[in-house]
Amino acid sequence: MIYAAGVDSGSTQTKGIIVDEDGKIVGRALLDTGANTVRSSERAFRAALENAGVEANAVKYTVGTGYGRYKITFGNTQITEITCHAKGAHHVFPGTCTVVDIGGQDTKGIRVGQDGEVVDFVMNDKCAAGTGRFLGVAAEVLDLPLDDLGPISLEAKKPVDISSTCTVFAETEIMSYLAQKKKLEDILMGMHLAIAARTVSLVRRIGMNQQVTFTGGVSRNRGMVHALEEALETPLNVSEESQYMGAIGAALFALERARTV
Amino acid sequence: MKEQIQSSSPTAPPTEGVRQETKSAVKDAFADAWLAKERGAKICYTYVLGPIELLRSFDIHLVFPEISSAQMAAKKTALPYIQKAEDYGYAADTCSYVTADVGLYLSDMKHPLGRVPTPDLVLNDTLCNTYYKWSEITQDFHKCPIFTLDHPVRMARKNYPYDLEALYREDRAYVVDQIERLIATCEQLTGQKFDMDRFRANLDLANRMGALWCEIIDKTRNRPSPFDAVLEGYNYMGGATTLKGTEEGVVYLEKIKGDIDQRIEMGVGPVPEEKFRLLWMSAPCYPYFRKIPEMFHKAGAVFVYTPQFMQPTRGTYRMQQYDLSRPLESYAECLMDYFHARNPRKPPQWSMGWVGGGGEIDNQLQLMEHFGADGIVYHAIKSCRMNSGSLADFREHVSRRGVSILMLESDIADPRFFSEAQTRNRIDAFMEGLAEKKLLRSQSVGHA
Repeated sequence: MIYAAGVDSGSTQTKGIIVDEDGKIVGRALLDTGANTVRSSERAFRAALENAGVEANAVKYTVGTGYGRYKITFGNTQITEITCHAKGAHHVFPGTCTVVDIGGQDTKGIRVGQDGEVVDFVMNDKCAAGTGRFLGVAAEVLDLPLDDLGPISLEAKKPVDISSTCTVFAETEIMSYLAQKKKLEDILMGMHLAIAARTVSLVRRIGMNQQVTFTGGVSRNRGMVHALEEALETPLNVSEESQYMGAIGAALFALERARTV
Repeated sequence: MKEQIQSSSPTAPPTEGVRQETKSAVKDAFADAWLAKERGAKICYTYVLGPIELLRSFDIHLVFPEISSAQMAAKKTALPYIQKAEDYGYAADTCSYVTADVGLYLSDMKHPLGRVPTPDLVLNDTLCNTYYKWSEITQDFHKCPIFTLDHPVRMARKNYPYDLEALYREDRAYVVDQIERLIATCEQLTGQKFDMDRFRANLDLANRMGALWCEIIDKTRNRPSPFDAVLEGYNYMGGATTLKGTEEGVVYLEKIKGDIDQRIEMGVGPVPEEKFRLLWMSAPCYPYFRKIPEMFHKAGAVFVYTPQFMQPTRGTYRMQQYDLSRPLESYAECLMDYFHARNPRKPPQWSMGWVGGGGEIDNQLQLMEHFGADGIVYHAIKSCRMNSGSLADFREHVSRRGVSILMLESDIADPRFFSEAQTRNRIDAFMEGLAEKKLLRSQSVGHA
């Protein structure tokens, strides 16, 4: 049995995936990227191997992806996360035509061809507005665990209007709503809707076709899924694997290369 | 680690010689301007699309503020100048060529390439909206007169409600009248009488340069392309603009043509193996002038054309030559015809894409075909809405026609709008997409 690996070194978290020769996911790992990209990538790779119960020398090919991909020195090659997310999303949801990927510091819209290839893509421009960082700021200001934001936001009855698209200034708006005694769930849903609105305008630039698959760390947030489905007026493909989609795509590319090496 | 780009071949004829010549043509411009001033010549600031041949027929020495700002940017020295202008009160989204230039005015005219003489005249030209304000700023700082040369542009519309030919004749007469007034202004400024023969001779030189330039820019149709339209093309263009309408300009372009022909004969190009050919839309990012094209070169991609190649041939674009038998009228026509897309008498031909519309989309598709390109890179300039405003629409419409598109964002002179990691990521992803497209296409041909 041969194996292939994908390691996605994102701005916030690093993901590792091991696939077997049939492309089945047999191991995964997720940890914080931290300051040392090389070390966190290696740790994610090792943890995924351990999760799979596979020895490192059984892995025939490794592809690194994400912003830290060039630091994945133990890998055989690097491919951008844009190409990898398209590949992963197409593998998990074969009907995918559009990928919305919201990560820690960037948001991407990717138009995907019938073979899982990237047809066009668009990304946020040098600004973290509308990215996972927006939610990170809210969690810090409200002193809540990041994972609680989505479930609480779903209780909202009258979401507030967060007008600022700037992550830093949004903090001021949250403070102001707190001072006005607005309900926590309404403030949080307001945040989610602000990200959704920003994402929609980005995705429309490449032309949105169904099915839409939501990937990246923020796809774990149910409140965000809800807000985005409302804003895009379409149901989203989301799965447990969504956060790993870049690493899955990388592992699948690695498997293709392993077969030809 | 700094990436090393392999040179195309150790035996390739040197583009270095031409590059040095371009550098010295542009670099020596200020020193030449001081020498001219000492000789008693008047200094005129004019933009790159200005009436250069006419001004030169009065021995007026020309300084090009756009080239001066681009030079600052390319030498990575623009930011302190831009910040000086911002401290003075200019907004960060003002054209960064302007803020760099204002920074120069606020720095006792000390440019990184030497001190720049102040103008005796500033020539405003209505081709770019920013020129109006820029020339007013120059006037305000240096207390010199402005001459505004206004040439009407008509938006291309279906069922145009006027007699286009009659309108064109009226517009031409309006421009000729202004040229005559510009002549009078120059006569007054320099004390020299206008010499029609000399003007005609300058136009003849411009025609020869235009013809050479049109030949040069078509040579990227060869495979491999003998030069990169951004990395080398913009250098050639800087030299050709600085020397427009002169004997030296003709010699300069002949030399470039000779070098390029040699490269074609040897089958060498900017990269060891040309895999992809791309079009570049809009001006380059001068603060990272080499870095961005080299990111493409790494993936075997070469730029084969940019619509800005029209610039050095003002009036002689696509072999539209000045008619020497009626110099003033012909000069006026060439000023007006520059914007093919805004001249409803003519279909848009390889224009800058400033206006949009169906004709512009077809124009870009024709360019793709003419140069055998695999994709288009749009460069949105943060401080230039004039150049970048239509790019989002183009992206959408051209991409719908099956063309691979990449949108990059940075700036012509302000380095703060460039993010290396983000730019590299976009370029890598785009090149991966092109490679995959090529692979899928070859597989489908294989299956057929």
